Amino acid sequence: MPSNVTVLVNRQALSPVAALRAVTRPDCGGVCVFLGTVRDRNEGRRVRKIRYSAFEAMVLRTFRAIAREARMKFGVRAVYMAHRTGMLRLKEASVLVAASAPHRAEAFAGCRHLIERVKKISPIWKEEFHDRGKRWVNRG
Amino acid sequence: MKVTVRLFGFLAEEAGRPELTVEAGTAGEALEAVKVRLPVPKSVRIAVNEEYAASKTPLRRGDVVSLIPPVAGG
Repeated sequence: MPSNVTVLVNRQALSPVAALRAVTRPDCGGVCVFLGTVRDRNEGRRVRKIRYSAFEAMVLRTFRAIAREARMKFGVRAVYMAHRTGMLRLKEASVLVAASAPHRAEAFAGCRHLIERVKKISPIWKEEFHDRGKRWVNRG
Repeated sequence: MKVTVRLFGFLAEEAGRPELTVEAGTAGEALEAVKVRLPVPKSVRIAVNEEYAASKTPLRRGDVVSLIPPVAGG
């Protein structure tokens, strides 16, 4: 029987179809998918591309922990979480999360939880490339 | 005890290498030892063996400390 939690971090293009296939199940009537894509502006600068890097083993560990939280807090039954690394162009998807639950309210809330927590705790970094130069985002 | 400290993001870029070896008995001591060689902002968090850890966390032989700059996934 396939696991109800799928976690990925690698250079490959993200597949919403794979996410849907992983989380769709007969006991769930709601599936919510969130895709984050590379935007052309950030904090007043024109962005040309973004390079993502990650501490991959720890990212996967945080993804599994976040999936457990979503199950405990919102009753989601299946979770898919994937993040890309490497250089991404405008409009390419950098992150894909999906959650399924018996009803839509839990699916939406669970999916929201997944992406919000990834942005808070998963050790992933991005370098924004501009017309001249680049910068680390959230350098702190 | 000699401990490997992995560096990520701008820390690795500024150090010009992905890891350092330092002398430390706790996670916090490892961080302090890195600070002698490299500027490390307060916002950097510590992980021990792929888990976020408090400064006082004791280190055992073979543990790997990682310095985690503010994350920016998504």
